[in-house]
Amino acid sequence: MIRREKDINLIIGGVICAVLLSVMAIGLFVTPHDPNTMNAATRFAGASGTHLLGCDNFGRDTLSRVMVGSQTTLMVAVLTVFFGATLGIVMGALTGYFGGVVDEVLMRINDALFAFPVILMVLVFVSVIGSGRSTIIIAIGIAFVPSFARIVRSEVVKQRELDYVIAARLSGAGDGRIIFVHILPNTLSTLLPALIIGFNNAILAETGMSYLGIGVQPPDPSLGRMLAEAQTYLFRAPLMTLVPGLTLILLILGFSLLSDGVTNLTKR
Amino acid sequence: MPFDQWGRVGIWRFLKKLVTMLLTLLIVSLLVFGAFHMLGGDPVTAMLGMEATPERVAAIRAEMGLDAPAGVLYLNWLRGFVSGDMGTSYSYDIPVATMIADKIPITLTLSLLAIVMVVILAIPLGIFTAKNENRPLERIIMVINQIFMAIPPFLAGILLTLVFGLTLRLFTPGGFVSYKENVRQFITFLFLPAFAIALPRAAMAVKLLRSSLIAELKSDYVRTAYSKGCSVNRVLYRHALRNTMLPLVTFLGMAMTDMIAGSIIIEQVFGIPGLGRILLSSIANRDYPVVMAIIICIVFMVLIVNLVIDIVYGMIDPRVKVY
Repeated sequence: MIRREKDINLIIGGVICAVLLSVMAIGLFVTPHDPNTMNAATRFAGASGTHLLGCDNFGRDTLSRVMVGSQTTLMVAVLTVFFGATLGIVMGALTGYFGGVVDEVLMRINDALFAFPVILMVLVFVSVIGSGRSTIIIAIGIAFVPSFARIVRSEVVKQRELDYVIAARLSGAGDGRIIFVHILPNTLSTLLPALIIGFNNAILAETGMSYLGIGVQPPDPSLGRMLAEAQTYLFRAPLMTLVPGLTLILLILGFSLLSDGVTNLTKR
Repeated sequence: MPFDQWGRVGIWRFLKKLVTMLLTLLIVSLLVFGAFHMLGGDPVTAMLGMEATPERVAAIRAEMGLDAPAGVLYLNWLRGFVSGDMGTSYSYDIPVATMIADKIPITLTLSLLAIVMVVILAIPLGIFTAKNENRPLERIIMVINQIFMAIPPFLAGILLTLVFGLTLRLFTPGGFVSYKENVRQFITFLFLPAFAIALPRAAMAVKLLRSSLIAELKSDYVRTAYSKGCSVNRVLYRHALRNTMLPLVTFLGMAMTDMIAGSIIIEQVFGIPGLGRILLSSIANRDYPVVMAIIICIVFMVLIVNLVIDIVYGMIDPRVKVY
């Protein structure tokens, strides 16, 4: 009974993600219309045969813009998580394994970073090096480092004294080999859900920042940017808000269901 | 020994936390100052524009006291901060403290309102869903809950504006009233923005409370309580709920810090002139004293929340005292 419920999470999440990712993948090669071509004749056009999901205030096709915009959003999320997780994992693994003064110092800095909400971190970076896509990726990535470092560190501390590590050491494996070949794969069950949730947080942060106008810059579409532009015409053209909005909700829903499913899978 | 816990030992632990907090604040201030000082570009050039002569730039720099070494600048800034002088805004030429003092209550009220909503929504719903696990109504609630979890606050804000503001006309978008004019209208206006921030967090809290309650209800002590004749409600409220409070409080603490920062975005959605609004405009104007002050203020609030959570921890679960 319980087992079936858990599989459902994985299946629904997987299906949602698969559908969205394939739509984005198609968008890489072809979109119904050019996402940036403006057309005065189709301003605020509703859903129709030529424009399936209507048009925005410049007459640009909403479906095409969402296809490209969600790519941008996902791309930023992937790079962010990759950047933040790599740094965090290496930092957590090294400090957890070796301990000592370096561990203490790094963990204090980690605490300080942890007190920094993601949004605030991005704002600091934006005001120091200017807004834009790469700033957002670096800033959100750095904001993610402490949480990944913490997760990996506590796992490594737990595993460090286990028999298999001692056995590996006795058979002559070096520290690097023990950390990266023996211990890290064993932290995967905790790390994987955290990585997927990281995607969600990155998507949230990117869309939030692009909504504020300091993330992805126009004319590049991104989900957050589109929502910001659409808000002015909320009543006149609700489709302009609803299409990117629902895409965003589905994207986050898919990833969180997937993460739940993976958590339950690795638990047993 | 209960005396030790609430007497000497408790105070030591609290002091230790306080020192850690101050240390964190110090590191944060150093990082923030360093970032702005080294990479932030020159505020004077930004103020005077590109055509300013080097002599004039140097004169203004000297006048603003910016030509001292970085360490001295940092210590001056820190000393000022401790005594309540947060510097002077470059763009408006007024003390930063007066600029942000009356904005802090707005952001704080918004976050507090949101956290109260999270608690009011999440606790009854969490208990209800745990009690009725796998019944049809519970399944429906949990599906809706899962969807609510996926709505980012700013999007929730936009959708709420569409439904309540533009369609049902129950609320005036952009009709912010300051707390100085009318406290009731101020709170009424903040209701919807707070709800937008609270919605996804409340959904997460329901899920957390539900799953930890279900796990508790399967444990040995619950069976013991039943076998000695406790009623379902007594087991639930007196035994199981107590043990689920710990993860819930941890979550609420994290949610609160997220909401304080998240209010920056929500303020933009609803046109609320709080800390977020000045922060964004100051970033655009490169008005660094204001930006730094607001960042330190927000981090300070976050740290205070963490401290409070820590104290609440010890109150809920007396086992948490060794540190």
